[in-house]
Amino acid sequence: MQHKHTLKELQLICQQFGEDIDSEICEEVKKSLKDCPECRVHFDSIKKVVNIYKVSENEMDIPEDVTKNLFRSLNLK
Amino acid sequence: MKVIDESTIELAKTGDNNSLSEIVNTYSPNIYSLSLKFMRNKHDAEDVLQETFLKMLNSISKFEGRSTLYSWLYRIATNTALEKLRKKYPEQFEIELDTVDYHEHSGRKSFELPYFDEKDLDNSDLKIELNSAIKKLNAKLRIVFILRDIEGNSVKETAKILNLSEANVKIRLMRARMFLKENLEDYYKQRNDHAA
Repeated sequence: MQHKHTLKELQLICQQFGEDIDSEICEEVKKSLKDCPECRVHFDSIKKVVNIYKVSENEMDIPEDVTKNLFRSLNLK
Repeated sequence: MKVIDESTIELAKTGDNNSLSEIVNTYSPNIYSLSLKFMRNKHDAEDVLQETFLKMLNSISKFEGRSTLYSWLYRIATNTALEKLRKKYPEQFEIELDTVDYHEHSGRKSFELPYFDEKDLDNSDLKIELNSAIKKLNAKLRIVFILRDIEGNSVKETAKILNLSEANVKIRLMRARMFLKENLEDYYKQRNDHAA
């Protein structure tokens, strides 16, 4: 029961912040959860997920044919 | 990214083809990349790209310079992607996602994910899983996650681009993060079960 309550609070806090998951304020929240190991796992996991997506969603090069089609559709050279 | 100077923008507003081409050449790679993140397939991303620049051609004469030209295009591209996603997945836009149910995830035990680095992405299974999870994510949540967590816009900027309240951006962001986390946890649990 206690754990669910803390997890709910954690979600509420992070939702209120809408902060970068590794922001100072989120780090503070994480430190304050030392009595709830599962909350720390939860928080760390979210941070890991955001970080891996930041790396995996890298900039994609525009293919040459896409550029050609674009200029053609806009009647530009 | 190169910045287009004011004189080029002024010429483009008069319909000067060289200036318009310079703008398209400069900004199309970034707009394409952004569109691909939203749409998750090359065909739809190309449609968003073309529509964005067509809208630019039709309305650049009204561009007042209250933001940078790139911010203006970025907003057009985001809203064009949103329109397309709404048409393609109307059922996803009917779901109420702006209130929080704290019991939604309460029965679920968190699973300790490994630390990732760039090398982990050489594992094509993981790459496929990440792509599949973000594809499955409700489009309304995906757009917020990409603008906020991937593109690095602030909550305020994200809210402004999407014409949402900041509170709704935060709720959608939390839901998106939870969804992606749970998908990745399931992937690692299954991997561990197979290995055992």
